[in-house]
Amino acid sequence: MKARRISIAVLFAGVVGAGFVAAFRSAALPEIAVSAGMAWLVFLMFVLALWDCFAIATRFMPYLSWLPQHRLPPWLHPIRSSFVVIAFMYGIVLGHFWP
Amino acid sequence: MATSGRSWDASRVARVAALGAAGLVLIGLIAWALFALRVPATCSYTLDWQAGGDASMQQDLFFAGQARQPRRAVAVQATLVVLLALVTVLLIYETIALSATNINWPITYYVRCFASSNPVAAGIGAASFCFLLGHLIWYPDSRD
Repeated sequence: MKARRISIAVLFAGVVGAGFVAAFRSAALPEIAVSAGMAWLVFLMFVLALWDCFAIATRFMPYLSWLPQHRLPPWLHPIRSSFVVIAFMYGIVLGHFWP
Repeated sequence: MATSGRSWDASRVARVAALGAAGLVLIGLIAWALFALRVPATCSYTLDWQAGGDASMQQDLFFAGQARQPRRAVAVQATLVVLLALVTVLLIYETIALSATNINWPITYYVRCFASSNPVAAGIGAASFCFLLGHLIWYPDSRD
């Protein structure tokens, strides 16, 4: 089970990274490449979520998501102080959107 | 920390109430922006802002303890699928719009315009958004 999750994570990261590299090589501007890469990442998450939707409903297919909070590795437990996460995200949002 | 199940202790009530309040603030801001906000004339296609990538951070992180309630888990998962599909479409639009800003305005431009004309409201909206998403990464303790 653990090996399967790790292999899925590595495969997912590789596919996401390949998409970002392709976007940066082909896009005229970096912001276009970032947007295209994010679209690719979210699309892959959509595919995994759709798979898991059928997996949960039918109990037939394997459950693929490794991101649900109860499956995070122990070294990520300090993140439960979610206000750190909120502050981090707030910084990203402010830095990204404020002119 | 109980994130699912039937027990409703005080801390869980407080967390759910805070999330509900943040959600209401976001919905209220969206409604205000749709129906009552007067967009300044300076917000137009002619503005030459630097565009950036869209920050979409949806994660499928709802599922602590959901295995005990498969029907509810399927409903939450289906909602996530719809949400991710919507975000994918929006990001594709954002990419297309960024490649030709004179034809379509990217979504980030609208957000930046709102942040420029209404910084307080935009700050409240950003805080509510981050509060909601930040809680999705809140790790449950071993009691779950």
